[in-house]
Amino acid sequence: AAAAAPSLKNAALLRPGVLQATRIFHTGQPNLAPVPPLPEHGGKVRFGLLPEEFFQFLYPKTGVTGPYVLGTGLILRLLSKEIYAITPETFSVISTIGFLVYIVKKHGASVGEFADKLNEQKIAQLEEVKQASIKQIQDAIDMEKSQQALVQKRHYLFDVQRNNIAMALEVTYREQLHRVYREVKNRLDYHISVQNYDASEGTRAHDKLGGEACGAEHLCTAGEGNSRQVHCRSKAARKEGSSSASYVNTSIPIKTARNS
Amino acid sequence: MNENLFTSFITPVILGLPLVTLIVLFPSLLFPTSNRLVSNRFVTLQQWMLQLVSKQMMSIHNSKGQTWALMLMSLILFIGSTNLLGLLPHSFTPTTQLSMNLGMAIPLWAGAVITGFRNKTKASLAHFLPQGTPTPLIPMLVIIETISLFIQPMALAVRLTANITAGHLLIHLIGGATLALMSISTTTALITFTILILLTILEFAVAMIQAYVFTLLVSLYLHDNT
Repeated sequence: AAAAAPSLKNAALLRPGVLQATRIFHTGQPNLAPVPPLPEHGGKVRFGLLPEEFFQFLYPKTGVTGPYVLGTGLILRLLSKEIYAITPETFSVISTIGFLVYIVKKHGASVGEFADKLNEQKIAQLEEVKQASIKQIQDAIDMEKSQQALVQKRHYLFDVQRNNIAMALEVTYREQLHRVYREVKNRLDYHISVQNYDASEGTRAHDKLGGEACGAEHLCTAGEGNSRQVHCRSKAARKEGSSSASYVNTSIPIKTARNS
Repeated sequence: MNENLFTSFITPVILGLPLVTLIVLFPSLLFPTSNRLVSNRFVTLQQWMLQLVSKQMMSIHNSKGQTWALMLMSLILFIGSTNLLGLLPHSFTPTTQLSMNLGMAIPLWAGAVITGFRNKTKASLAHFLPQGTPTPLIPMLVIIETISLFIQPMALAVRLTANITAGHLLIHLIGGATLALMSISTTTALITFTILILLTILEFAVAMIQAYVFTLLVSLYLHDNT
């Protein structure tokens, strides 16, 4: 309540709670919780009316029969002096009280058990809700733990995958490297064979033909064999450069047929 | 004998002070309230019984009729407890007084009828004519229905008074007969048995409460909801 008062004060523009904010209600512990427990059994009585303490009180002076003698004497005095007169109502008293005593003696225990059962049902219902909630949370905890355990093992999978990928990359790299080497070797073999051909007798035939023997992609001019080789080499080098993929690091120098 | 027969119905007055107020207020002490979830056996049984009765009685009403639940439940508890307490020896039963029963019946009946007339005027007026009456009988039937409507609160009050008073009187009379026959001892046992049986039947004063609240309830239902 003390915490509620300042919020009341600042609640609105006009501060309607200003008057009431100074008056704080219910500062003490509310008497609803926690309540002290009820006693389980009531006080002991005899004949449903007279408490046991009365008999214990008279016991030192008059013994066991004392209260009974007192009761008998009182009843006889009431009757004989007509303080209590026998009227028609007396019989209705006898029948009413007799009926009630009979009903209570016969059905009292079962009614009490029924009331206890009602309370048991109430508590059992709430207990069930509580247990279900606890069980649910426990199941969630167990599932979470098992999933965490699974997660712990996942790195194996990742390692395997990583290794696979690395191997695949390595294989691809080597494959492409090999392809590059092969292409270059092909091109250079061609140049060698062209050179050999030129060296032997092919030059005269090439000059005669006007330079069409080189092929479509070669811009070969009718000139000395060297310049033709340079052109072709450069073209071939460009082709090699494009054939090697970007992720393959060709640090290996390509030795040409001339330089080797 | 005549003087003694009706002395139990005199409104109790002690030294000029009305004791009857305390007697009327006394049954409320027997229904303790408890804020606990699990209370003692007494309160548990009362709560169970109240729940049973209210569920059984208020289930037939719609939401507007169910606003009367508190009124009807306190009515049945009051009349029931008062009648049962009156069965104890030398006690006074307030419900034997016609003034009190009229004070209960007339306002409740009037409330139901006026609610019905205010909210569903046509339906309430239509109750004066049952369905399927032949045309020449209509004026007479309307008069009869009006009379039967206005006799409802009287019937409610007088029914309760007569039943409880008659029961008490019978108990007293038969007790007196037993007393007179005590000197002729052969028939005494028979009479005492009769008293016991009569008393058991009279314990169904609770059935009287049922009749009272039920009648009121049925009339409320018909007026308010249909």
